Amino acid sequence: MPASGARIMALSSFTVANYRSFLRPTTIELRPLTLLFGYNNSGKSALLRALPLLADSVGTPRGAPLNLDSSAVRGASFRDLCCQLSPRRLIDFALAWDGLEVTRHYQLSVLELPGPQAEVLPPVVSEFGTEQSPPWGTPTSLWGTWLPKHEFQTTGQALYDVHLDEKNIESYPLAFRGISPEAVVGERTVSISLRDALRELVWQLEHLRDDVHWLGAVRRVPHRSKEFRGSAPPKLLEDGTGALEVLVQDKLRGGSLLTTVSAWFEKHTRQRLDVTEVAPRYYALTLGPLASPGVRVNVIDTGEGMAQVLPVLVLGAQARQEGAHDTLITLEQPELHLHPALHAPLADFFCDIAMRPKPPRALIETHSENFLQGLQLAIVQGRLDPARVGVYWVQQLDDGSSTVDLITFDDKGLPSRWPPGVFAEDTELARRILKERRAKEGR
Amino acid sequence: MRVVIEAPLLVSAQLAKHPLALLELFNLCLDQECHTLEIEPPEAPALKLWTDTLTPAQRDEIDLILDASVERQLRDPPMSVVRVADVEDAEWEGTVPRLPLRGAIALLRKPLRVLIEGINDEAFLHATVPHFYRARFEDWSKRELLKVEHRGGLQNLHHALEQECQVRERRLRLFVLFDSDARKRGEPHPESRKVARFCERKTLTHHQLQRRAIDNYVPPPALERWLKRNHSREFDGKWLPRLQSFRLLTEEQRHHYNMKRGLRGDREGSGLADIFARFIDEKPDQAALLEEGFSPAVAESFQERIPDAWLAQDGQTPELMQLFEKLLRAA
Repeated sequence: MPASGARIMALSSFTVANYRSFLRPTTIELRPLTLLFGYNNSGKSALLRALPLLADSVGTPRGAPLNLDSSAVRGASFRDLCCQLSPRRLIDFALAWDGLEVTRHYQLSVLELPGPQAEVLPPVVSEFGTEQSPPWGTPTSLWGTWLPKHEFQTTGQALYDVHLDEKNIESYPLAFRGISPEAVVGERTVSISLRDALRELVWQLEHLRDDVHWLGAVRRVPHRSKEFRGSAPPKLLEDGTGALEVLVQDKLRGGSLLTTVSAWFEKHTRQRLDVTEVAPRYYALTLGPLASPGVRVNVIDTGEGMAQVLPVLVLGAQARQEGAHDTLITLEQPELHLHPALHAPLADFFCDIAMRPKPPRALIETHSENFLQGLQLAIVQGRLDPARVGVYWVQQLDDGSSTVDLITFDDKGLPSRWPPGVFAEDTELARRILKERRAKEGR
Repeated sequence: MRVVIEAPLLVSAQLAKHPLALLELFNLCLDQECHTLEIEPPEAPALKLWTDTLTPAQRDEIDLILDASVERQLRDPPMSVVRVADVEDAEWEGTVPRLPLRGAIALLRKPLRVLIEGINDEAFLHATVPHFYRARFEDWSKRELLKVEHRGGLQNLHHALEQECQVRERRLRLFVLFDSDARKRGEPHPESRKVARFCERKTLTHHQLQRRAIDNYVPPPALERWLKRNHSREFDGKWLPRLQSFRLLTEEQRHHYNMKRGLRGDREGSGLADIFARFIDEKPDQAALLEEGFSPAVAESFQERIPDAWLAQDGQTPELMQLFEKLLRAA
C-alpha cells in the first residue's frame, strides 16, 4: 500500500468540461448524500454517468483512454460525448479525493485529432496532472503534456513532456491504460519519484474502478429463481442484476444484509423479505405479510415498485454495511415505480446511511418531490446533518448548454434557494383550473 | 408576501362587518402568486366555522391557496411577513406588523416597487436575470406584481427613500437596487454606503451592486456586440483596440473602471483609483487607449438579453442569483 494511505480517501468532487451538454467546467461536490434534480433532458444522467464511465475506463479497456464499451455511454462514440456547442474534440475531467488530512487531485484532457486522411484516430490523453497533499512533507505534483509527433500508434505509448514537482524531467514515454498513466517498462530508467507518483495515482484510480457503483433508471426484475454457484458478483450491474445472488450469499453467511433490506420492507410495507430455497441450490426472493408468516410471494409477482426498489436497497445496504468511506453509489431515479408515499421512507434509508460515522457517498438523480421533502423532514427533526446533503439543480440554458446550481439546507430544512415553480406544478395546474372555473361561472 | 391570518379574526366582529373581505384576501392570493397565506394555528376550529359558510367552489379555492402556501414555505418562502388580526388599526410594534383585514387587502394589492437609479437599470434587470429565475421574474413583471421606478442618482434615491419610509406600509412593498460607485473592490462610495445604511436601518430589502455600476456588468462579448452594432464604421479602428485593452485589465480593474468616461473621467473628477497605477506604468500604450471610456450610452448594451454563458464567464452569476433571490422573495 502506498505510504499516503490512499485507501481511505473518498472521491470528494468531480468536474467535467465540454462533455455532453456541459460546455463549461462543471463541478459536483460529493457529500454523503448528493441529489441531482432537473427537468428532463437537462443533463442529470449524463453528469451522473460520467463517474461509472471513468471507473470503467481504469485499466485496459478497448478504445482507450475512455472505455466506450462502458454501458454508461450507451454505445456513444467519443464525438457523441463531446459537447456539440464547441468544435473542439476534447473533454476535460477532474477528480478530487479527500482522506485523513490528505487530498488528491487528478485531471486529464482527452483529445481526438483527425488523422492525415481526416480519418478518426483513437482519442489520446493530451494533458494530465495530479497533485497530492500529504499530512506531512511537501505536496507532490506530476504534470504531463502529450508530444503528438512522438506517438507510437502501434504500441499505445506516447511521449509526454513531464514535470515532476515543477521540475521538468523532459519527454518521457508513457502508456495510458484507460485513464491510468503508466511508465513504459524498459524504455528508460524511471526515476524513483516519478515511478512512485505514477504508482500512487494508478493505485488510487484502481480503487475508483472498484469503489463506484452505478444503478441505472431502467432495472430488470430479479430472476424467478436462480442457481447459486457459491459466490455473488462483486458489483451489481447497472440494471440491478446480481441483487438476488448478493442476498443469497448474504443469507448463507448469516443474513445481516438481508436483515437490513427486509427491515425497510417490514417497516414501510408490512412485508418481510426472505431468500427461499425453492430447489437444491436454487433460490428465490420472496415477500410475505408480517401478519401471515406462511404466505410467501415471489418478488417478481409482487408490485413492480417492490422489485424495482430491491437493487436500490441492496446497494444502499451493502454500502452501509461495509462502512467504506470510499464507496460511491450512483443511482438514477431510485424511486421509480414506487408509490409517492414510499419516497420519503426511501429518503430516510439514505439519510440513515449518510449519518453513519464514516459514510459512503451517494449521488442520486431523482424527480421526486417527496424524496426531497423526506430529506427536509429528516433535517428539521435532527436525523440528517444539513452539511451532509447537497442538491444540484441541473438546467439547460437557451443555447443548449447545461449548468448546475448548488442548493444547501439550513438546520430547519429550508433550501438556500429553489427554482421557482419546481414542484409547484400540481398546485399551479389546480390554480389555473379554479381560475377558469371561476371565469366560466362568472364569479 | 407571507400573510398570516390569526384565527380569532375568522370569528370576529370585523369579519361580520365585512363578510366578503376575507374572501377578497384569498382571491388576491389566488391571482397573485407572489403571496402566501396561512392560518395560525393551522387547525383552528374557527377556520372550519368560516369555510362551512362558503360554497364548495370557494372551499376548493381556500384549500388550494393554503396548500400552495405550505409548499412555498417549504422551498422559497417570501421574506416579508404581515399578520392579519382582529385589530382596529395597524399595530407596528415588534418585527411583524399586525394589520386589520382592510389594511392587509390594500397592502397586498400594491405591487412590489423596485426602486432603481436610472432607466438603464430596468433594462439591466431584464437583460441579466439568470435562467433560474427568469420565468418568474418576467411573469411577475408582465403582470405588474413588480413595478420598477427610477429615482435618478444615489442622492435622489436617498431622498426618495426618506419620503417613502414616512409611510410605514410602503416599506413592506419596496426593494432597492443601487450602484456601489466603488472605485476599488469592497469600498463603496460614501453616498452608496449612506443608502445601504438607511436601508438596513429601515429594514428595506435592498441590493448594493458589488461592482461600481451596472455598466461594469456588461460582459466583454456583449460590449463588443453593442459596439459593433452602434459604431460599425469605427469599430476596427477605434473601438476594437480599446476593447482589447479593456480585456487586459484585471478583474478588479474591469469591475471598477469608469465605463462611461474612462480613466480621464475619473482623473478629472474625484481622482483615479490606485488600482490602475500598475497597469498604467507597465502598459502605458494600452492604458492610453482606456483614457476615454465606452461612451455614456454603454448601458444601452442591456437593451438586448445577455446570454447566461456570458454572465457566467464574467463571473456575475453568483451575485445575480443573490440579487434576484432577494428581489423575488421580497415580492
